[in-house]
Amino acid sequence: MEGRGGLHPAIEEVTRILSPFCASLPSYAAIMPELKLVYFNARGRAELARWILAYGNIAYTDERIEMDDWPEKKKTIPTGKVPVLMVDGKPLPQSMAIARYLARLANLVPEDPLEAAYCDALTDTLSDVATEGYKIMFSSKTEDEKKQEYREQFFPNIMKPVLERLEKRLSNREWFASQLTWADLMISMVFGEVHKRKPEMLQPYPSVVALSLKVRGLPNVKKWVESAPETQF
Amino acid sequence: MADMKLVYFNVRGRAEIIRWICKQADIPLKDERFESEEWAEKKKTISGGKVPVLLVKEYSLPQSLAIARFVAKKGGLVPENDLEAAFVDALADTLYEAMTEFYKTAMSEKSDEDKQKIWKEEWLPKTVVPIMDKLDKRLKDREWYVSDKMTWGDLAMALFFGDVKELQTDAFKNHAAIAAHTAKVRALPKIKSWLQTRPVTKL
Repeated sequence: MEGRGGLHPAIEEVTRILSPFCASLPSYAAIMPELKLVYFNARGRAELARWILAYGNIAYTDERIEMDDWPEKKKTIPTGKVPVLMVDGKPLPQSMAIARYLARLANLVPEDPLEAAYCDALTDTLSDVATEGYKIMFSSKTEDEKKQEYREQFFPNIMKPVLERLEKRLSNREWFASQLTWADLMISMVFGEVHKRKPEMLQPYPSVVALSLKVRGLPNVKKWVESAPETQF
Repeated sequence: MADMKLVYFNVRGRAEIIRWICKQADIPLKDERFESEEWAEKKKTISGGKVPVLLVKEYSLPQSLAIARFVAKKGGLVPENDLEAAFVDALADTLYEAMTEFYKTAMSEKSDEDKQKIWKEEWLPKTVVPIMDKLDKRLKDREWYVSDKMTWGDLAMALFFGDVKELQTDAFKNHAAIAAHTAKVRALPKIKSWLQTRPVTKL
């Protein structure tokens, strides 16, 4: 998705002219900043941001860097790290800060501070799980050794405790919090992927699977997941 | 409402920012600490099995930065503007990544001498100085990290850089703005008082 999106240019122009006189007139141009998400050509730590942007139907530039181009490109990025979200030209680093900010724009953050904090805690926990997974994925072990480590260490010690608590929480509620939030998107993003590759591992967690599939069935999310580039990670 | 309770090891570590925020914002907080020998037993009583955890009414909130943001919000230390709030989040994440690296060495089996060497010869120049360079530039013509008032981002900086100074006293020789900012925050009456009265721990 590129450009400002949403409104026809003529309507945008009229809105822009009229909006100083009509404070309540919605102006897409006034509400949404210019957004560019910069990352590798991968899902990785940028995918949550992309899901949130898709759900909120928020226009942005999805800039992807191929690994060969990274050494040169890195020099042009203020923090030298990706993902980075350019917001009206200002660089916002850190995948979770980016996701939380976009979640606000997409109305996916609860009003109640304690509920919002629970969403923060769950997403931080899933981010920690992802970190452990990446350590294995990018280690110098053989593919077989990696598979063994996922099976014998990562899944039982890192993923399972999180799944168990999530299953308990989701077994008698529609969403993680009192309404759909970015926490549900992250749950679906992470465990929907596990469900795709190793559905048998999620057999004891039907509520987690149900939520994951439900979120992936939301029109904007579905459209994104089906059209997003296929990448290794 | 009954006081909230923070449960953590008897260290500064990942929970100290929460204590600073509560002190600065006058948020009553029970500061429950336990020694590492007690952890095996304690762990069984903590939902999720990880600390720090904040006990609020009947709820148990994990994850140090989720807790920090929650109490900061309560205490008026989160910027109103969403983008500024996001910049503070990103700052806290960056400082915590650097801290995690520090702790990895701290908890390793290496000798104290080797640890000091790694911290001073690798961690400081490779991880910390690049962060300091950017922040020093930013603070040259502003009083606080974002907006026109102090936020929990300023507390996180002063906490982190104060500890860096403990490790190497001349760490700020090329970063005068950071030196000034750190000193300013640490001199705030409530923070100063906490620094003087808090338990003294190695980490």
